[in-house]
Amino acid sequence: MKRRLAGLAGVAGVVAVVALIASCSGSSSDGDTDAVTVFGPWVGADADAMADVLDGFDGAEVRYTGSGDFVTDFDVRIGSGLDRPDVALVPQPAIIDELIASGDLVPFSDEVASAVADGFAPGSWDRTEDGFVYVLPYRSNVKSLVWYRPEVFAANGWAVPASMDELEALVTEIQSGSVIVPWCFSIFAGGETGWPATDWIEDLVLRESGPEVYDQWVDGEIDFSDPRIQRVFETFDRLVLAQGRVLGGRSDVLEVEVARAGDGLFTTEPGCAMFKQASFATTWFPDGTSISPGGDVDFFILPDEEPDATPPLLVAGTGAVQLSARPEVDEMMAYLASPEGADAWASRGGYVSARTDVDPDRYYRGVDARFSALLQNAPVTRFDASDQFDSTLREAVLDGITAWIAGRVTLDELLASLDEVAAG
Amino acid sequence: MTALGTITRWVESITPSTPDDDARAAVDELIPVGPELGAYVRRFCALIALSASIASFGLLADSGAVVIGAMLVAPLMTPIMGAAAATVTADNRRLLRALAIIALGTLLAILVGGLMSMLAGGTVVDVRALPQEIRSRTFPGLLDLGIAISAGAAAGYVLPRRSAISALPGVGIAVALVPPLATVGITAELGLSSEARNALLLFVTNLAAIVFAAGIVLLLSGFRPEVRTSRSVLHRRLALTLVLVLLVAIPLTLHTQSVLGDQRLQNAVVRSVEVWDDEVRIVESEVDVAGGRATVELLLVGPGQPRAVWALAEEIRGRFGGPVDLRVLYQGNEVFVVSAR
Repeated sequence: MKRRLAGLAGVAGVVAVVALIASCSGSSSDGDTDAVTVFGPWVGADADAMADVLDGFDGAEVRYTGSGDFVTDFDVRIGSGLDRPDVALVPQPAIIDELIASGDLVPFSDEVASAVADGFAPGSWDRTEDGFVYVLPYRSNVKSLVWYRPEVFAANGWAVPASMDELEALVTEIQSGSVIVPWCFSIFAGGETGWPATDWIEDLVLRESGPEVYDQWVDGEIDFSDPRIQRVFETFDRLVLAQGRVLGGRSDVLEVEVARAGDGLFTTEPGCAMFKQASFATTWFPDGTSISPGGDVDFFILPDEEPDATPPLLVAGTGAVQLSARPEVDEMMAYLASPEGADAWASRGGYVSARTDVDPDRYYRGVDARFSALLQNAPVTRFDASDQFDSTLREAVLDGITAWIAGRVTLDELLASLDEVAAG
Repeated sequence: MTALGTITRWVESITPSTPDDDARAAVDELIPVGPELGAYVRRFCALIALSASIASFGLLADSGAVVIGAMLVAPLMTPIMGAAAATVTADNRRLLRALAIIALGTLLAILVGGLMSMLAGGTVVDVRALPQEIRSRTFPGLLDLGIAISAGAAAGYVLPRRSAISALPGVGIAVALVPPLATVGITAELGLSSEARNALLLFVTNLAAIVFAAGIVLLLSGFRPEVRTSRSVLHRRLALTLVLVLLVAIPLTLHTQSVLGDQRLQNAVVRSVEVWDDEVRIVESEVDVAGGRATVELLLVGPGQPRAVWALAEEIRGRFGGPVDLRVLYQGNEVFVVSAR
């Protein structure tokens, strides 16, 4: 009985939203002031998982609402001051910095603060100011993954590349010798359109220019027009966006929703050979997809420049922050900070975190245990750069990259305009 | 079984003991016996094939009038009434003959439906892209059962009364038998197995309800088994048709509940959109309730930028009372006025 409304010309925007009732009762009115409201970026199956988690909290009633346009919607909810959620699940550390600066966040209770200190390796999420802790690093993602179908690779005689040069050679081989296109890739995500392209750029900066340059770039010490950044954009253009290398061409890159970008990998006659996307992409895969070297689909890490070197890992995640100091909200945060507070999601699968107080092999399911091992063992990990840019620069990066892919601006124009925004 | 026995005995006690000869003749003539049977079956097959092909093309062309034409050509009502009469009179030979002819007609109509669909070509990616005439036959509900029982009763009433025979085409239209079968053939040929099953369910609903209701009415008109010992056979047969009616009522009830659930959600959505932004108009909406979860897709038109869509989702969740997945396509009203001279 389901059908997607056809995309219509002139449609101003696509907004995907999911709202889910979690916890005690589904019948009390929305005006119930005791309910704890949670706002996050997760929709669909991820929202179901979060609702499962919140169902396990036996304190106050909890309601989760997720929006596919989280950043814009959250901004409005904070700005208006009227629809402030009690707890927010924020995918960008930069937003949290802005909220701490504006005094919008409530520091964690002592109980939650010590749970965070004892149970997590917060890394880029460490936000402790004057002894107050503000962020619970709730969920982690591994971004540098390239998904492929082992049977398709085997049938065509393709091998998983061990270096960037081998990857370039593989892309050329796929393009010239097969009806299958090398990449599935798209960037359409409402107000966040463009983010998968930033992931590509960040992963390539880490590999071509190294983690030191990456850090300087994130901190604004290196310009976008710096040759060490510019050449990465050129690599990305050549490797992925060039004619015949991406399924559906640039128009599909701009129009297909990110969550459907990998569909071409799974068709009976595969449309594409590879799909670079983060660990959370598993929730977008068709139901029943088995993920393992001998299964329907598997992944390799985007290789390093050096053959057979363990590649650096781009990571991201979602941090939980508290916006009201009511005791029931404190209780719920304490629940989220405990291993039980993610148990329901970990058992469903599709969840890993920076938690150090659990045995990963027993806590996580299936491929999640592999992601957890990657997070713990990678020699170099860096947090998603665009999630650390302040919101003005981030918006300029997303809009600029989209305009560049659409051919509305040249690379030089793009990089110059980003430097202008970064300079304030 | 005993309750049914009590009812039939009570019915027998208050109805005339025997119908007149004319009425008996009308019922006996339904399916000829002896040498005429072969000619009858040939005529029956020809009419089924023609009716099914008219129905198929009418369904594919989405023409209600053509489909009704097919119903008038369809000869299936005769053996079904024969089966009802044979059930009531406990005439085994007539019953078996009628059932065999019904089975033949059923298979033939499905085959013709599939063949015509193949001839017409075309593939269907989306179930919603099917013509309305086909779609309406792939989700039968309790209303369809009500129609079939009423029409079966009407058929049972008309059958022994030659003076009322002019009403028979109306009965045939009310419980179309061939169009659901043609739909089974078409949807099966298109690979839509669940739609084909549902269309078959509609046919079985009609079949069971007509035999049952017509049987009861014939009983009321005084038709009985000629031999008293056959009465227990009558009771068993009627009970069997009743069980069949109850069996089909289960999926039909589920379908009806599903439709009502969608309707309730649709109302919740319409009201929520009004509360959310009374200047916004719903251009298109798709709602579905499955496992207590609401899935809603909306195409909205309104002035300027949309208001917060998460607030709309929460509004719908409040009215619906369960989890909601919402997807909104929003179209700003942009007016362009130009003059070129």
